[in-house]
Amino acid sequence: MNKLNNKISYYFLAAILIVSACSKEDFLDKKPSTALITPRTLQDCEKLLSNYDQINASGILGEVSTDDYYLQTFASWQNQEISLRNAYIWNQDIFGGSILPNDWSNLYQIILYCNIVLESLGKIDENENPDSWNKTKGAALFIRAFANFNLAQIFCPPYDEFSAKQDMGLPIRLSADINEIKQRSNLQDTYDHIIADLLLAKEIINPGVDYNAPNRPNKPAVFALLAKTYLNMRNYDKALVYSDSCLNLYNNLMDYNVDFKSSDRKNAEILYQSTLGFGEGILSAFFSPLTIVSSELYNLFDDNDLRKERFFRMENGLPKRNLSYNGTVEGFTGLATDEVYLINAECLVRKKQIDLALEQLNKLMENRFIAGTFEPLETGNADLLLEKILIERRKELCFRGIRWQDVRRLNKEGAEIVLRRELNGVEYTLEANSIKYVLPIPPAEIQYSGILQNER
Amino acid sequence: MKLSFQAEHGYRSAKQLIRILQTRKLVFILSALFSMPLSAKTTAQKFTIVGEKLTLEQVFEEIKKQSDYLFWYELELIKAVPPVNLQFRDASLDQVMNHCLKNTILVWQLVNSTIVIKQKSRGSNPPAVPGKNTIKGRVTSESGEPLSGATIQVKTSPISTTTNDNGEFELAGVEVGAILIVSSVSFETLELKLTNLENLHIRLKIKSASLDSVVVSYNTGYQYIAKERATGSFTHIDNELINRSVSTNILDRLHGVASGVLFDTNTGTSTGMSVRGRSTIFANADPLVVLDNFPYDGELSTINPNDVESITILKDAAAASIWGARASNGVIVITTKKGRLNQPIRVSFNANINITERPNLNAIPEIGSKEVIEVEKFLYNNGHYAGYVWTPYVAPSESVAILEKQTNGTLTELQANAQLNNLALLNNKDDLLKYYNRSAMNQQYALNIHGGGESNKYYLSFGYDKNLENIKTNTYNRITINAANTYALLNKRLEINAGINLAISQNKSNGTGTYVNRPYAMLSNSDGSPKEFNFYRQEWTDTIGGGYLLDWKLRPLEEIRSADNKTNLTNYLLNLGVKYKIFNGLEANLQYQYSKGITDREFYNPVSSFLARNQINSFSSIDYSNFSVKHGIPVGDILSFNNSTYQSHNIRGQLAYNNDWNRHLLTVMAGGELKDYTAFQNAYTLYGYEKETATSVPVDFANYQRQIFTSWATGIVPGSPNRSGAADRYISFFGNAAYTYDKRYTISVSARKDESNLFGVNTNQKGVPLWSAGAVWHISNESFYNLKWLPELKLRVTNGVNGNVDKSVSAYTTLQTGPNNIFNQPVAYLLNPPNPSLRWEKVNVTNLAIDFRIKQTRLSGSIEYYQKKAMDLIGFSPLAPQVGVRSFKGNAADMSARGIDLLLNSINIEGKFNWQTILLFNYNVDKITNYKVNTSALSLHEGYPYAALFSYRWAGLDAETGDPMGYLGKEVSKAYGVLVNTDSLGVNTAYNGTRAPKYFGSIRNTLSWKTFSLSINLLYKAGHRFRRPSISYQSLFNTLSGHIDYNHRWQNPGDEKLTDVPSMVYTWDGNRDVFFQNAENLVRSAGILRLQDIRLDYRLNTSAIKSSAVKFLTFYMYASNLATIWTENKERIDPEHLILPLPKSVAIGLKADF
Repeated sequence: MNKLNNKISYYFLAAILIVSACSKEDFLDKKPSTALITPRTLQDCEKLLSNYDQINASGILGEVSTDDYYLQTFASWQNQEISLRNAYIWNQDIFGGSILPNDWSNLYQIILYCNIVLESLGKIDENENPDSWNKTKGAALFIRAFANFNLAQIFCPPYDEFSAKQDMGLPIRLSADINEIKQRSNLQDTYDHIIADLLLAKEIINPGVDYNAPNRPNKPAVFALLAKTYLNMRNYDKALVYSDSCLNLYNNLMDYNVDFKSSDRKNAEILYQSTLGFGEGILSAFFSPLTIVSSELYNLFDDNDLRKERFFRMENGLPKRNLSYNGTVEGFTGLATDEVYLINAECLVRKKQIDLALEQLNKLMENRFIAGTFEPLETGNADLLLEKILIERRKELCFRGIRWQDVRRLNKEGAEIVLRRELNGVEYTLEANSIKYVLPIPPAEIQYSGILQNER
Repeated sequence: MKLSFQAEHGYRSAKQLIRILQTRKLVFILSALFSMPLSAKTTAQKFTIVGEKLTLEQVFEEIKKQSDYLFWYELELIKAVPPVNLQFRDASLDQVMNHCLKNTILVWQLVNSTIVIKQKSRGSNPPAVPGKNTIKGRVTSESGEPLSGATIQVKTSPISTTTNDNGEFELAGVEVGAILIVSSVSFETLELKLTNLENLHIRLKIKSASLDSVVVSYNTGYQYIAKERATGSFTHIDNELINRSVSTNILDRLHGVASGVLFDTNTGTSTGMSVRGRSTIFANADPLVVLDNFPYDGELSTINPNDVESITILKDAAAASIWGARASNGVIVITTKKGRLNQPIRVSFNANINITERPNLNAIPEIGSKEVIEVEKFLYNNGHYAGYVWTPYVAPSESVAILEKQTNGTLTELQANAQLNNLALLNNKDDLLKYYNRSAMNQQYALNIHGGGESNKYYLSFGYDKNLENIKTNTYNRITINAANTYALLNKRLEINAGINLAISQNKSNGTGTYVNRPYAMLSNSDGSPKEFNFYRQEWTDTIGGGYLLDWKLRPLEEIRSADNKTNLTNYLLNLGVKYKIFNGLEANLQYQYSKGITDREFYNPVSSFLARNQINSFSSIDYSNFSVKHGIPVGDILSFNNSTYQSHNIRGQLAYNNDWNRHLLTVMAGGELKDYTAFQNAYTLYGYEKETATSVPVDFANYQRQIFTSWATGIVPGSPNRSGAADRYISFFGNAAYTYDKRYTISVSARKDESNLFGVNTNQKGVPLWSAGAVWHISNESFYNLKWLPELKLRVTNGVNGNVDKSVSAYTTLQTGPNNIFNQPVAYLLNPPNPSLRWEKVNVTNLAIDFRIKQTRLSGSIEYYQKKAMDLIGFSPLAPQVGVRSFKGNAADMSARGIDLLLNSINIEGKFNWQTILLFNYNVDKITNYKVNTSALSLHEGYPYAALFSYRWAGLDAETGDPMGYLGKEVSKAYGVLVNTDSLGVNTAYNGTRAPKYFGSIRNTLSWKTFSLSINLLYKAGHRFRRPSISYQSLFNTLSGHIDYNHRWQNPGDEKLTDVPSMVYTWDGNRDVFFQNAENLVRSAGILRLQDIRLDYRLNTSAIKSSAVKFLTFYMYASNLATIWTENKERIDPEHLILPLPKSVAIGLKADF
């Protein structure tokens, strides 16, 4: 009996030991939920970059600060989110203690996504699937460059090659580590960083445009963004080169008589899909029945111009927004061949290549008019043609975030564009080359990272 | 034992005496441990004893000579036995001993090698002695319930007996004048003088709980702790209290009877229940539910309350910290019924029917047909429906259709008004009550068989619940089967228990919606036939369909009947436990539990149902050139599944040591356990389903399909197969020890370390030790204590740390997959940036308590004060936005809470008529002490309670327009966008108190008289505020149902003096509505006193029942949610039932024991 007792005691002790001694590391490494992923594969990286809502969006404060629209009543202004209200009147203070996400935080979130992808790619064997690996890396670089470009148009001064090394640029983030804080670089470094990312991306990125996946970047989009970046740097030579490179690869135009449709963010011209702002609250500001399109802009359109009725509708005698360029009610801020044609034409005319410029402009405009009504422009005057092209830019690229960039750039060229608006009986103006063309950085950023604020 | 024992030996040397004494001690211990059956004597030894008139002493001496046996007896008893004549040759010990003791009052027993002689135990009567008599009798409780196993002993005589199962006994050898001592465990011992020999009916009085408190021990899930020595804070709910209320669900039975447990919609837990308030912000706030030994992973609805013996709620650190990282929300330990050793087979039956009244739809504070038509007219005249031009398929409501006809001239104004007036007379609540709702009726039947033998015990139960819910087609059925067996082996050193619990339930919920949202939309025509609606505009369906689509009409009445939606749930639990006594005091215990639960949800919509027809038509496109229809979804029935399965393994090894010596008592327990839980969920939809053959047609879930609404509309067919899973793993080590000295002082310590798969951090960082320490001082047991009026006084103090988990955070970069994007590509979201320093939430709890009892007034109770400091709570901390996230979810927040639990038990009147009052009073307040990132103006703020109620400051209505007005600082403002989006307390918003009750509890009075007992429970809550609902014009315009405040809205200048309800304006402004609905003027005090329930019991005197099979029979009636006695707000709004009043319910039932 005693022996049996002892035996049983040993079994018990053994069982208790088994409970404690089994391989803890393996046992506790099990993932708590299948929906949780730590980015370990190429697919995980692709999924992050496919996050359309977070990735394919641009800033809104620039567009809000333009004169292409106005709010009909004081009350509708009062109802806007505080940063939009302030941007509308070019107020000194923009964020006013708002705790909502803003252009700064949203665009840096895109950069974080890209940095996570780039760091994860570093841990994935490149040789297993070199093609996908390279395409994913190229996409992350492009998306990071696009976000940095958009940030620079709002929070950095317009580029000027003479002062770029002294002007304040962006904190350049190359790592996903949230404990790492970057101070602001100079503006030259910022643009160099954008261009370096793009030059690296163009070698490895997906070569062609996928009509059904306009949110995926590709080589023509990289060239388009290079052209656009150089245009904003007023380096028209390089902008010409890269707009050429883009159009050599992809030069589709859609005929508004047949191709323009209200639909699904796809059209033959889109190289890369992106939308204005992040989320519904901001869209509503632009599509509220109380938002009126400036008649200055509306009146630029010829009656035979199909864009006039596609883009706008008349309500109680006032023009309002209808569909945007990509056929939805959201604002398109991506890249498309129409913009590249216009960059190309502008650079050509600035290089006095008048015939070529005319050809590009006419090719684009022909597709926008009721069939058979378009009369091709003819002129030998470069200044006149440049003016035409710039007007065409304002028309074709309206509500795409480009007006703000153009005003900043063209004032640097001496255009003396002054923005004005009236609100509740008070007139507000934004003088050409004002320091208010650079928006302040949100206070939370200053508070937690101590980076330098813009003068305003 | 006051009898003096003396060993008897042939030689009475000192040496031998010592040996005998040693042996005696051994025998004493052994005989106390084992009560061997008398028949089980075995020996192969043979004896030869021959002689006449031998005294027993002589016989025993002879036996000792021939063997190694020792004897142990009381000398007096042996001497009384007359000498015997023996003629045994090669006889067995049995033969010899039985012969010697024949016709005596003695029996013998062999324990190891000692022969123990003792008096015959009760039940076997000595032979009748001449001149003495035999009496018969019956022992019952005061209420007439037979007491089996009661002892009847004749004072100063060995004669005794016990009662049989019917409480009857027969006692021989007594004479008139003898004194009988009648006793039974839970009853007071009675002495009575025999005055005659007639049949006796002896009634015993139940021992009063207040006089000699029944030994209560708390089950922590790991061990039982005696109440006297418990340092921690426990709430114990015994079987009687569990069975006081009638419900399908076990947790409902804690409502209003458990101290420190709050049932409230503002607890933020999934069960609506919280233990001692809240101590977390974002992590799981639900108490841990433990069934017997292990955390219960199944649905709580699968636990049949009839199988539950008791519930113990572990409230402070000393009580709960043995559960470590899962303990900070309190632990609810449910203990199921088991059999009892040495108990004859018992059968218990319980049945009840509970009827709940039909929902009082007419009490919903919303506007009726007349007002809705008025609003629609207002909207129509403002061009609200002009938008139909853009969505030509949207159907106008009945009243808008009339207005449209008036506009296009088909109806004159007079005709239109007449039609609208007729429409205004309708009220679809009449139809809903007639066709859709009913009184709910829940039937519950439970049967169990239990008992036990010398070395085994068993419990077997069967339960059946059938609930007809208050929506006509909705039903719930549940079957539960439970079996528990325990076997004792190896002289009861080894105990093995095995149990199985099975629960099967089916929930039918076909009445999921009625589709009727306007009060004049009836379900039936005046002749009773189903009413038909156009879900889409008829002109549009006629044109676009052109007769090529399925019928697109909606008949709500048919819809209720056509669906077949059910949820089948199967849950089983297997238990196996082995307990082994290694040596006296030390016990090893190994337990294993496996549980598995399968929930199958099935939604069947035949092609005749609107839901199916609508989906099929939507995903159709017609080629008008040849009128061919292309179906994205095949024509046929639609069957959707959503199945989830979990399984869980739990294994635990545990060593326990108990010892008491002199004035010391020590218990030590330590062990380790492992849990492995996995769950999966699968969902998919079959289209073109044919019920007969169970076949379906494949569908393209991947690509966008054409939809019929516009020329470009596309959509993805819903219901593509998907699967998701979760895993939960723990390895834990735990231990505790308690030491008591002289019943005066007890100290306890406990510690636990948990490691889990939780955070994805290094294994050595996953664990955290959680601990507690506590002490009890039994002041009333001190020698200096002499407060006679306060016979019991005890102080308790504990402190310790409990843990909590938040599974949404991780130390790694984690992504979560989301639904495919608009280009149908798989998507991942960034869930967490990496955080290597992540750790558990910790809650430090201090508990101070006094337990007391006052003699004369029979008042007893306890008062406990507690303080909680929650640290390292998962919260948000701000980051520089350039890093890509604006805030970070990590261990960034702190909270504190404190409270009081008071329990008073007063026996007001005792005697024939009994009146007992139990008062529960609980106080709990909390505060977020560290929290850096406010998410919105009205949510969490540092320095305020978790459930803080923030509102917009109210400046009244604009006298000219009836617009609501708020404040921005000192300035009155109507800039609603600013008012709503500014987060500045005191500028635009104000703090109005907390939504969670600060004070709550119950007052329960129990009255009993003869066999009747009546119990009334009042519930109260106070110290909190709520926001009463009012009109939202945005929602009124969209849904066409609105709050009755519509009728009190501002309409003309001057109205602002009479009302706070803003004017109705077009176009509406969402922020104006948000501002008004969250403005300060709608805040009310939420204090309430409720007559929660009444229970009436009638115990039938079983002697009145002819059938002797029934031992015990009780009829009961239970009524709940009876009335609101008092509300703090003057409008008498029930703050917990803002829309639909709580329906009353009444149950009747019976309980029988066989």
